[in-house]
Amino acid sequence: MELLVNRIQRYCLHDGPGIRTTVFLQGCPIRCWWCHNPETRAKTSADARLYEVTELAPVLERDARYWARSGGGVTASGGEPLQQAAGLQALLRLLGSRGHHRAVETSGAADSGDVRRIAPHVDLWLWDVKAVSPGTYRKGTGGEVNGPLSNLSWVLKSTETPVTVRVPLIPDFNLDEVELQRIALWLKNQSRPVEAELLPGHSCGSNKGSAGSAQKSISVDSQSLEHARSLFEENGIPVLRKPSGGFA
Amino acid sequence: MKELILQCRDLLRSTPDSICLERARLATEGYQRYEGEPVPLCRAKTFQHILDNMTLDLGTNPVFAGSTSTHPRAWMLLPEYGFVVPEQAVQEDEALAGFLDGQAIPDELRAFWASRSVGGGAGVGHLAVDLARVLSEGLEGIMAEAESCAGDGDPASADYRKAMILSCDAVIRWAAHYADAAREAAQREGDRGMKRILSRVAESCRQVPAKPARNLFEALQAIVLVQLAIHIEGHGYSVSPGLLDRVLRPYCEDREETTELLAAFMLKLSANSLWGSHSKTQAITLGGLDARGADQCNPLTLRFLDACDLVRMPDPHVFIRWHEKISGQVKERAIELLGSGLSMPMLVGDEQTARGLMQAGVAADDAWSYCVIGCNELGIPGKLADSAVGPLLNDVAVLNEALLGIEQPDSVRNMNDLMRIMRNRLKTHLAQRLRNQMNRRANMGERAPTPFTSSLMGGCVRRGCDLHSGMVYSLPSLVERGFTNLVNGLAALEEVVFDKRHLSLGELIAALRNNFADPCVRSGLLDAPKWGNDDDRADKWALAWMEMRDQVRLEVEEELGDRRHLSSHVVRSLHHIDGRQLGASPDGRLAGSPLCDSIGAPGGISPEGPTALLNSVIKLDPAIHWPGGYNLNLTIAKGTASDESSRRNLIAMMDAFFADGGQELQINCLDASMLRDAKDHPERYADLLVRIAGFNALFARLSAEEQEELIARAEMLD
Repeated sequence: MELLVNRIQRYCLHDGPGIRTTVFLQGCPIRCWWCHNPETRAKTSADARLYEVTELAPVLERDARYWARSGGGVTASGGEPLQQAAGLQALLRLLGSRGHHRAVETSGAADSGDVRRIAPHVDLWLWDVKAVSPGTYRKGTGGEVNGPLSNLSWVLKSTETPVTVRVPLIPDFNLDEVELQRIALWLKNQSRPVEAELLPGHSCGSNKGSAGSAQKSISVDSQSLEHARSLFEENGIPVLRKPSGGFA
Repeated sequence: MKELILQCRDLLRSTPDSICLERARLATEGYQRYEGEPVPLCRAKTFQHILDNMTLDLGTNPVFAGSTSTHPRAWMLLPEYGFVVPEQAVQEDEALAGFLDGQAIPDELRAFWASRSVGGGAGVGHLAVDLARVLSEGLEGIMAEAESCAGDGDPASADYRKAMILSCDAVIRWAAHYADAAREAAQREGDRGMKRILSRVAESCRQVPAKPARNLFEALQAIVLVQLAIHIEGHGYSVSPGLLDRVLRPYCEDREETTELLAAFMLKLSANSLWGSHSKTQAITLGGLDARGADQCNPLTLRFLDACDLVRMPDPHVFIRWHEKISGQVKERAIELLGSGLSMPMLVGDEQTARGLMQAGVAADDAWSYCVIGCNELGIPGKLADSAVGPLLNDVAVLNEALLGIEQPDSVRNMNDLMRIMRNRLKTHLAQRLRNQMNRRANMGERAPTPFTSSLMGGCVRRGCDLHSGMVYSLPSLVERGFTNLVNGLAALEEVVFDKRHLSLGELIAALRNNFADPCVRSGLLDAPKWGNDDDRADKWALAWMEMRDQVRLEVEEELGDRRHLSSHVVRSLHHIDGRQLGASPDGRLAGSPLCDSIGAPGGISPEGPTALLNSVIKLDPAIHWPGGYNLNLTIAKGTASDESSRRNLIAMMDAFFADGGQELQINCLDASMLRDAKDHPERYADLLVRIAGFNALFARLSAEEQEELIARAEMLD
C-alpha cells in the first residue's frame, strides 16, 4: 500500500496535542484561494515522494520518543489526506497497532465511503469548516459544500472520535456576521457538541520551518477575532484558545 | 534591597574596563621579599601581603564583603602569569587586542616579571573547591588538619602544609579587615537600611570563613570571600562555586528576601574583575540526584533561578542537572527563563553524566556529586578538577592531516583504507599530545602552586601537595573540537569520492589545497548527508570515529603509562581560533572559517527540526564516548516557548532527550525581528542574553558581525 507524500514535518505544535509529526499528503480536490500549502494541491508533484506504508511508518516513528512524553503523535494533513484513503487507512492502522496517537486534518472533501473507511483508525479529527452556505463555499473553494458537511455530520453521529472543528477566518469570504452565524448554528444543530478553534489567518509560523513560504499572510485583527469568538460562544460552541494555528 | 541590587547590576553593565595595578604591585613586593624561600611559602606569604594590603570595597556592592580590584571592572592583573590578554578574550571582544599595551603598566613591573612569569595570564582554574567543608568546619578546621599532619611526609610536604596554613590565615585576616571596615562604615552611615547591611557584613566577617557559617547570609559571605580569594591567589577561568543549592541546604531560607540575597551574591561573583567584564564562566550547578536517586532540588533551587532572572548577567552562568524526578515547578521555571531570552539555565543530563564518571572509575557518591567547572566541563567539588589540564584534539584537523599526507591517492580504494590512514595519523597525534601534556602537568604545581586553593581540595592537605598532584581523582580530559566538521567530512568523502565517484580522492585533496578553486567541488561536498539531521548515512561516521578514537586513546595511554583520559567536547569561542589555523576541509568548509560551535549542527539548527538534531546526538552514547561532557547548541524560535502548551512540549522534548542518552543541552530561543530591533536599539534590550558556544553574553555587547550571525540563525527558523 502506498502514499504520495509532499513532505514530512517534525516538531509540529499546532496540529493536535503534544509534539507531532505531520505528514502532508499530495493532492486536494478543492482550491481555496487563501491556501497555505498550494504545493500540495496538484495530484502529483516533482517534490512529492511515493512511500510504501511499511517504509513510511518507521520514518515517522523516529520521533516516537517525543510523542510518548508529550501526548503527541502523527497528524495526516495535506492536501486532502482522505483523497488517498486506501494508503491512509493502512498507515493509520499500522500506527494504531503500535500505540501511536493519530490525527487527521481534513476539509471533509471526500467520498462518504472513504470517510467511513478511515474513521475507525482516527483518534482525533481536525475538521476544517470553511463555510456552510453553498454559494460562499463554492466561491471560495471551487467545491460543493454538501459532501463535506454530511461527512462531518456522519462522523459526529456515528462515531465517538473527538472532533475539533477549525474555522479559518478569511476576510471577504466567511468573515461576516451572516456566514459565521450560519456556521455556528450548523454546528449547534449537530448530534453532539463540538469545540471549535478559530484560526485568525496566521501562516504556519515556526512550523513552516525552512521550507519557507512565499504566501501573502492574511491577518485578522483582534477585534474581529473577539467578535467571532463571542458569536460562537453565544451559540454554545466552546472556542479553544490557542496561541496561533495554521490552516489547511 | 531590590533597588540596590539593580543599581549594582547597572553599574557593572555600564562601567568600561580599565586596569588595577594594586595586586600586581603587592605581588611584586611579595616576591621581592620572599623569593628566596621555597616556592609554596613565597607564594603563601605573597598572598598574605596582597590580602593584608588590598583596598577594601564596601561601596559598589555593599551587601557582601570582598573585591578583587580597587574599582569595578578594573582588571586585576596576575603578573606571575604574565601581563597577557587571553586569546579567547580577544576573540570575544576585538577591542581587547591591544588593551594592556594601551595601559600604563610601569616598566619596572614588566621588567621584574619578564623572566619570572609562567605565562597564560592566570592559573588553570576550572575547579570547584569543597565549599561544604568551608561552611561546616571553617578555614580553621582545615588549618587544624594541616597542623595535625605537620610531621608527616618529606620536608616539601611540610612546607606545602605550612603554606596552606599561612594562606588560610591570610583569608581569615582579610575577612577581619572587612569586619573592621564595615563596622566603622556602619557607625558613620546615616541611612538605617544601609547601616543594617553594613553591620551584617561586620558581624559575619568576624565569624566566616574562619568558623562554621551559622545562617544563609554567613554561608554566602564565606563563599564570596573564598571564591574571590581563589582568583586573587591566581586562578583564572571557571573557578566555579559548584552545587550551591546542595551546599547551602542546611541554611535554607525561602523568602522574597532570599532571592534578593542570592542576586546580590551572584552580582558579587559577576564583579570579579580578573579580566574585567570578560566572562570567567564561573559555573553554578543546581539540582540533580544523589547516589540513592533522591532529587536534591530544594527551595533554593528555584530561588537561584529567580535570582538569575533578576540580575540577568552572563557570568556566573547557571546549569541545571536534568532528570526524570525534577519537580515540574523547577522545569517550568527553567523553560520560562529560556523563553524569556536569558539563554540560561543550561541543562546537564544527570543520568549520562554520572554514569560516564562511574565508568571512568569514580565512586558512585562522588559521580552523583559532579558539577560543571567550565563552559561545560565536568568536575567534582574538592575531588576532580582535571578538565583543563588535558591535551587538545582538533578532530577535523586529524582528517585533514591524514588526507594531505596521502602520497598516492589512487591506492586508497575505499573508506576502510582511509580510516586506516586516519587511525595512524590519530595515533601519532595523540601520542605527541599526551606526552607534551604529561610534561606540562608535572611542572604546573611547581612554578606557581596555589596552596590556598589546594587546601580546599580533599586529600591535598593530608598529602601536603598542590592540587595538580594531590587530588582524589586524576582524570585529565581529552578536549576535542571540530567533531561535526570531521563527521561531515567523512560522510562527504564516502558519498562524493567512494560512492558516487563524482571526484577522485586526488582531485579532492587538490581542492583542499586550493581552497575549492572550483566551486562545484565544494557544493557537491556541501550537498552530501550531514550530521545532526537524524540521517544514518552521516551519523554512522560519528560512531565510527568515536570507537576508533577510544581504541587509539587506550593504546596510547597504555604505551605511555599515562592515566585514563575523559573525552570531552568543549568550544567556548575557540572554534573561530581553530578554524583560522586550518585549511579547507572535506565537509566543504573554506580555509580559515570557523569550525562548528558545538557537537551538533552548525548554529544549533537542523533543517529537519530540533528533534532530528537531538536524535542524532542521542546516538553518541556519552557515558561511554564523552565522559568528560560535550556542549550541544540548540536554537529554537521564540514562538516555540511562548505559551504554556509549547513550553510543556519543550519540557517533554528535553525529558525524552535526556532519558534516552543526552548529556548536555544549551538553548537559544531567538526571534529575528526582536534581534533586529535589539541591534538598532540596544538600550531597549539591555537584558537580552545569548549563549555563544561556551559562554553567555549580553546581545547588546556583541560585535555587529556576531549580532548579524545570530539574526541570520533566527531567520532560518522563521
